[in-house]
Amino acid sequence: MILHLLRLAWNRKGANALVIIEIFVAFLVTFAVAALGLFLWDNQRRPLGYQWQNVYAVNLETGDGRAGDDDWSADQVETLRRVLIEAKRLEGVDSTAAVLTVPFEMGGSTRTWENLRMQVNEVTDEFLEVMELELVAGRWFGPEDDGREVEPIVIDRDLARAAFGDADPVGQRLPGEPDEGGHRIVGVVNDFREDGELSSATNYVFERKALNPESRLLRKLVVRAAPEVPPDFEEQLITTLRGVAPGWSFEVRSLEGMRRISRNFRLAPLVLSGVVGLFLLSMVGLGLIGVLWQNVTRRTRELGLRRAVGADRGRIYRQILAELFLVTTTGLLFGLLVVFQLPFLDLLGSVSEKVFAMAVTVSILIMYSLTLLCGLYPSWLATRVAAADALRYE
Amino acid sequence: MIHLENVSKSYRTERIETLALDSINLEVETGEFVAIMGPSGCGKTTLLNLMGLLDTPDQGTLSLDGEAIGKQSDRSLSRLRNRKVGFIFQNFHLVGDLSVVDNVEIPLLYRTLSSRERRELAAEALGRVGLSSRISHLPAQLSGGQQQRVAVARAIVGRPQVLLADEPTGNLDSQMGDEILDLLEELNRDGGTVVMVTHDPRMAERAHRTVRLFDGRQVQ
Ligand SMILES: Nc1ncnc2c1ncn2[C@@H]1O[C@H](COP(=O)(O)OP(=O)(O)OP(=O)(O)O)[C@@H](O)[C@H]1O
Ligand SMILES: [Mg+2]
Repeated sequence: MILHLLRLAWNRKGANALVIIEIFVAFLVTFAVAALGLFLWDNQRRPLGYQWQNVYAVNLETGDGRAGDDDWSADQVETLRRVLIEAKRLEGVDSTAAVLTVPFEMGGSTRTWENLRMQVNEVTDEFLEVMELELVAGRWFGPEDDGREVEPIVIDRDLARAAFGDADPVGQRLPGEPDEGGHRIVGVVNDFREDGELSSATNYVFERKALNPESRLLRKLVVRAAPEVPPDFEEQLITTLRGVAPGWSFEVRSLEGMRRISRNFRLAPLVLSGVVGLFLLSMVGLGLIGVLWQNVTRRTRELGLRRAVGADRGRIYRQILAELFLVTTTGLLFGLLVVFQLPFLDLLGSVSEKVFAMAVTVSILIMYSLTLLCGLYPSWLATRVAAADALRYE
Repeated sequence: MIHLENVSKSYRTERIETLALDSINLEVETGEFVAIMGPSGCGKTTLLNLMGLLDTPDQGTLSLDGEAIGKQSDRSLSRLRNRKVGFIFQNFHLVGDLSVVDNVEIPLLYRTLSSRERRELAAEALGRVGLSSRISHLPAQLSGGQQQRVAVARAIVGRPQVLLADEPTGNLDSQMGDEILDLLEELNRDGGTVVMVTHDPRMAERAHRTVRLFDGRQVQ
């Protein structure tokens, strides 16, 4: 029967081509949406590496017209140190640190050494406490590193795995670092994903920043507050900071809010493409019902004949569905041919093979369900063809 | 072989009800060749459809090969059609997108046979109608007479006891029509029961007997 249907479908390739093309296109769109959705879902499941709850980010402007990454003056270093101390003294504040880049902030600095791409942050010692980082090997840096010739760095687990595999990175230097650098890995923290839960795993390096006049300017603070803070906490914080540094200006944002913005920013393409994809799928679905319905009405004589020579209703029903299955499979095979170019051409980017395989599976299932759903009514219609009527007239 | 007792059939449309067959009593013996004649619209096709289990009578009883046809399921009726009946139509009703041999195979698809057995039986049936050389042609590439011979091959491929032919020569010129009738006669001689609707008295003469219908009634 399958061979018979294959020959029938082949001889009708002209009529089937349109459906095949529709299924091909719908599959590609479904795959794209599924891949994006599964990519985000897969990211979401991984550890974030820090606790953003009750953390506030403070942007500061020194207000002396100096911009960019200029060196500090000794005065400014002293002011910043006092800002950190006074902020910590405020009721409800647990810890404070100065940073180059705050989590959920778009952007940040990256560098590539020997094909190893990593995000780099510069932080003061208390950053571990503020973000509640989880140390998995070695130690975090602290005052004991003051005045050492080799600068201590802490890397995250992704980078440890990428650079050292299963070997212990503690005490090592990052591969490919230029000689003068003189950084030494002192510890490893759990994965750190600066761009939030929906971002893919990134290699991450923390460089210790001691507050001294030779160092680059850090214009951002992170402040961890207690779980319950008064509603005017942000104002209190600004007032306190202004008291320490009257000439500076401060802007406070909660990490919770920044996280929401960054999440929406990452979810927007999914929602948008999801809506477009759903719209397209429903158009394809409706088109498919139409084509199949027309197919059945055009073939009433053939269906009537099959009924006359011994096909019962179930056979007719299964035949129409089987034909649809063949046509769908053909469209999907063309689609798979295209989609499988991605891993072969190394175009997957940060999408893992697992997510790719899942997206392929999910979109195949969606396409078969869609065509099955669209085929149910026309197939039922085909079983209603009465042989006596269908064969009566020309 | 076919037994009809008091069989009536009417068609209801929205406005009118047509009594297509009115109390028909008919017995077709095994191995008989019966012609059915009558003016257009008198119920000949309706009668043939009832005999071939394509339709069910409103009243009366019908039995085929000793089996009373009552309220069988769609499945068992389909099975009976498949085993016992072969149909030949005026318009051939070949599937245009299938080759000659694929068309002939269709009734065998609804039996449990391997594709090789199907091929062999179809080739044999095509041999009987003299079309062995046209196996992989499409119907459109054949003449009308050849198409009807394909239809005859399709009707006999499953070796049914009964052949039901509804004006099998109606669309053919007289020479091709004669060829088809020769075939039916030959099949009848081999033991097949044949019931044929025709308008052509010349064709009807070649049957063992003729049943005449008028306005849904049997006239003798
Ligand atoms: N499906 C149907 N719905 C309504 N009326 C029908 C239907 N089929 C047949 N009829 C009517 O039943 C009557 C008998 O029709 P039938 O087709 O059996 O005649 P026939 O003798 O085969 O005619 P012809 O020689 O033209 O083929 C006709 O009046 C026809 O109009
Ligand atoms: Mg008729």
